[in-house]
Amino acid sequence: MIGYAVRRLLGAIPTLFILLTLAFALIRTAPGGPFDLEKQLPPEIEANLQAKYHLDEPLYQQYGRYLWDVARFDFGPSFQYRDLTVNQLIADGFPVSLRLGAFSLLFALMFGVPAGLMAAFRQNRPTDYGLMTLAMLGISIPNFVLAPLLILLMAVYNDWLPAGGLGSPLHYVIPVIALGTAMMAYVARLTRGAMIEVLRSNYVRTARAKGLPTRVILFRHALPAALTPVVSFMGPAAAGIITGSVVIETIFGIPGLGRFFVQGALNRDYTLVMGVVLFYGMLIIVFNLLVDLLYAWLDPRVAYK
Amino acid sequence: MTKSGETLQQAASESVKGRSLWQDAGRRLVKNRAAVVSAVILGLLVLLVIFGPMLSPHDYYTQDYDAIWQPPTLSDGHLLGTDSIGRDLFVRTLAGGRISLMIGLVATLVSLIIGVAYGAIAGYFGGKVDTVMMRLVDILYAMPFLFFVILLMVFFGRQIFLIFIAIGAINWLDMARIVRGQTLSLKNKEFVEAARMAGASSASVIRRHIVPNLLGVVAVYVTLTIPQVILFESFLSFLGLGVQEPATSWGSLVKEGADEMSRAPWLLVYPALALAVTLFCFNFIGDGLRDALDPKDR
Amino acid sequence: MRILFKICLPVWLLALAAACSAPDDFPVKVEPEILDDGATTVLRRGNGAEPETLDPHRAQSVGASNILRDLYEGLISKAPDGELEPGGAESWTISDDRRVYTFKLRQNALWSNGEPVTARDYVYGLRRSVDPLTGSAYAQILAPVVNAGDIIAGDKDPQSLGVEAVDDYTLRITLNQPTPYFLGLLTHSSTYPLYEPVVQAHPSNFTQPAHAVTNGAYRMSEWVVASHIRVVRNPSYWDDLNTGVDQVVYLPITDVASELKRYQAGELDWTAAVPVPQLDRVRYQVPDQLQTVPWLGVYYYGLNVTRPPFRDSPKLRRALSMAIDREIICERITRGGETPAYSWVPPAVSDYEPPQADYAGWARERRLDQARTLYREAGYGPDNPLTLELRYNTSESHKKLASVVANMWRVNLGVKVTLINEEWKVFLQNVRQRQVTQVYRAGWIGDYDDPQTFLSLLHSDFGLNGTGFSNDRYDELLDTAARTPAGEKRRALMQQAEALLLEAQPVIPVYFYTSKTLLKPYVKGFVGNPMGHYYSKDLSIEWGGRDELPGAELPDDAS
Repeated sequence: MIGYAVRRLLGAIPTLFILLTLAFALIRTAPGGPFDLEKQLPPEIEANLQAKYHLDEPLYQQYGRYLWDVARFDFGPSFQYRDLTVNQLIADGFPVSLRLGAFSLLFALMFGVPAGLMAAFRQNRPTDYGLMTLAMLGISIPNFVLAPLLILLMAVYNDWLPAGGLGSPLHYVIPVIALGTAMMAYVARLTRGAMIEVLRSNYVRTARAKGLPTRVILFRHALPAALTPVVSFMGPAAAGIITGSVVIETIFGIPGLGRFFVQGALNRDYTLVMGVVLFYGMLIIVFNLLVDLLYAWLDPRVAYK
Repeated sequence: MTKSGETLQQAASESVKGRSLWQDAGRRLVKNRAAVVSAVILGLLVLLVIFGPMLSPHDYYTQDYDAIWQPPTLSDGHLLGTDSIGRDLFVRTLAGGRISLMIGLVATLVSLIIGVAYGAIAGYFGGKVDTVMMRLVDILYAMPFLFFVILLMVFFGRQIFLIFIAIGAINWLDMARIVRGQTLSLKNKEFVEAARMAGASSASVIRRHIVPNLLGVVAVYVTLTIPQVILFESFLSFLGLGVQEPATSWGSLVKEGADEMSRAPWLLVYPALALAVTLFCFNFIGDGLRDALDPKDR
Repeated sequence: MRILFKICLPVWLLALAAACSAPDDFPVKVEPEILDDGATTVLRRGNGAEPETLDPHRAQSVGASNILRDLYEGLISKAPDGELEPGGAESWTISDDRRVYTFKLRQNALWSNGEPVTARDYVYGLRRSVDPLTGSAYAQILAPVVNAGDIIAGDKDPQSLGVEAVDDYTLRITLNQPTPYFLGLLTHSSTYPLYEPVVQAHPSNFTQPAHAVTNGAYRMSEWVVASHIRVVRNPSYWDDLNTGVDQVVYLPITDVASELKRYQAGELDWTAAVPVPQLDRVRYQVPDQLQTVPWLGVYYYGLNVTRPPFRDSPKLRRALSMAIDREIICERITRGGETPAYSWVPPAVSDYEPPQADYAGWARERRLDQARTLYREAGYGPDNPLTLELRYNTSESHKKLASVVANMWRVNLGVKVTLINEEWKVFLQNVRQRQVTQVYRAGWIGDYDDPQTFLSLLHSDFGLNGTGFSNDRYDELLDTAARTPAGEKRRALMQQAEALLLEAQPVIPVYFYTSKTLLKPYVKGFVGNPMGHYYSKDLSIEWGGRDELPGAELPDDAS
């Protein structure tokens, strides 16, 4: 298993290289540059800035320089946040994003899985319909609608929770609900589908025929099998969190990485965008690997060597 | 399905199989009332979106500065009220629906074509071809989708359909994976073996036997992807990268509504309702299709 | 199945109704943040976008300037009402030819590390500001100073700048020619002094709390990117006794709707803006908290006069300008007390009265008739309508206004307008290249309180002129005005130039900005000023406790 993981990670290096090259090519062909500001810079000053950031060199040279820097894990200075380096920005933003994302996933699983199970046990009964309708609702409300509604309800009209910013754990509550709801809904639907399937399967029937107690059947035999689709959903879900967090970070003023993505691209902050793209690329790869390993652990038929 | 160049027996068995599969599925689908009701609602919605604007005395771009933020009334034809520059929300919601549904269809279609072709080829040929092709998919999976969409917006300006063709072109990865998996299991089935032994070329086997048998999965995928794309469009609208004024989409309308909800709640409620009902319907139809096509598995 | 729909629709409607067809009240939690010691007051201020840098010479955003004004002090400062007052300079004398300014610095001014602020610090700061290596976007502010232009262009050494430390506390600045608004320029952050040793030691991050040495009323305490910046009282500041608020927290909030909610929830004392849809309710529910102040800025549409259809067609340009109902825009669309713009220079500029376009006072029908006549004379009509592209950069408010203006042109003249929303960098590039752009939205905020800052935008030497307007007579009038001492004659020259501009109409001014902010009632000392330049030290938080407010909300231990 460890050998497999190592091989997967090594295999990811070319992937990251291609990712980096593509990102470099795209952002550099985009019109406008980091120093095209509303107040146009005097030509000499602009030339100096270009030289300072090596933007005056031929592109291939810049590309080479960048690759060399990245190989040493130096993502360079940010163009937009001029007093900071991309490394600093990522180091500051990532823990926040990670916490937000992890809590949201946790939230989704904590409520989505039980809801899915409950619906599966009460299939085609009011509980099932009610829960699945709620789930559908969760999927159908864009989070930029849900978030302000939650703020109004919980922070403005009632003084239960803070409306934005970060500080105490309480600050995470509304953002996590806003970010996790759609995911929770997907998880609930997936769990329900998988559980219904498992309940009909032969081995559960056999277990039942053997007279095993229901609890044992459900939690020892049925549950792990029912969770496999949920686990494989986690990979795309993690990627979805990145997109979702852009909205949540903007609305709640949370200093995470998601916004750098959008802001960096719009401001032509070359180094920041490339740094964040690369960082997320690595993250997705690692996360997918973890998901696969978890999958193998849950489903004994799958084996990685 | 045509039968030329194949043995009669095989053709017969295949056509019987095909017919019965789809008939069965159809029967099961009709029994799923959620899906049927959803299909009916969706059908009505589509009709409304296409013909509704003709019923209203207003159009989607005319502004009336004496009727800004007017609540829904029946008296002057502003059925669902007006927005911050006095445009009729009823007509705008329908106009937005046209765009949103079209965007959903176009992007899904693009990803469908690429995904099915790619997945079927990779799965069918297997071996090195499969390895290389799936490796590429893995690479693309690590790409931050959002970043590319933003850059594409920059390149294409607000050519909304180009953008959604682009989204479709990025979004085919899931489809390719699913189709490949199915193809892998299909290609060793007896009727495919038989066709191959009968001398059918790879292209014709893929076209005649593999792709038709993928239709079930694909149909499910399509009904579940359309709502995702529509939602994604709303996210782009949130970033201010939506369709070009005065045209609109449900995403743009919901975004505007969310900004103005305390002043004029109807601006959020009705477009959001239209959006949600549509997503509901697509999801129910998708679920229904899946259950109908694959009764044992789910 | 029926159950399903019975559940789903009501749930939706309930959820929405509960939160948004909201009760008509407008809850605002009124309670300041006072630190645990019970005495340290904190002003929490919404500050727009995250500042790009806190290097006073490289900063350019409004958000960064707000913070820099608290951290540093220039030679000249501003009173709460915007009047100039002595800052780092105690007094000054101006030579008879009005070219040499001699500043007497305060002997008791100290850096936050306790070192005295001397004339050399100012000289260092000014030279650094014009040095092309610094990369300042605002270096041009210092253009009136001897040799500044050449230094910015890279032709001369920064040491040759016309700035001289006569002794520790005397600074002499020599100008190329008399510049009546020069003292006003010295309030700008690009003229602030810097503490050289720390800049030399940490050239790329001397702005960080760990290193920053400042001479203003506050010093850096915390900087968490995209979260907050906290500055605290600088006990070394010469006028520390009169510093009102003890700490200021700047919150970078770009989403105005979110900002308002945080204000209502009691997490903010002062917003950067108020969302337009909420203005009516705010005005009705908490009128005392809304601060509406005219702002030195003009919102306009630029016309590219270097290409058809606007080349050599002043009639068409005037027709388009006259076909805009500015009163409707200000009253019904922007709704924030903006004034319709019938001149180019905002009336809020001191010592100046802008000439008005002739149609300013006309009745609507007469104005539109005249617009149609001009439109016809320019060669367009129902059979031959003008087709136009109107470009604007991505923003809800620009989108709304562009839609309105396009509609007015369509309805009033029959022009077919295509709206083109462009992402900011693309938009800027297109405006500058003047190749594809026809009409573009723009705004101009004055850098200093003088008509010059507006009029020079359309001077043919000025790099930012997206219209391509170039008129020798206009340039000459401005050049002459620049040399003329403040007074009636200079005023007349500038009025002539502006009248010429309004006649030629390369720009269509739409309205003059107002700044709209919400300020909690316990924040005292706020006086609006048209530049929107505020110093936190002039504000104070007066709070007698919760009992003071009838019906105040219960304490919230969450915040």
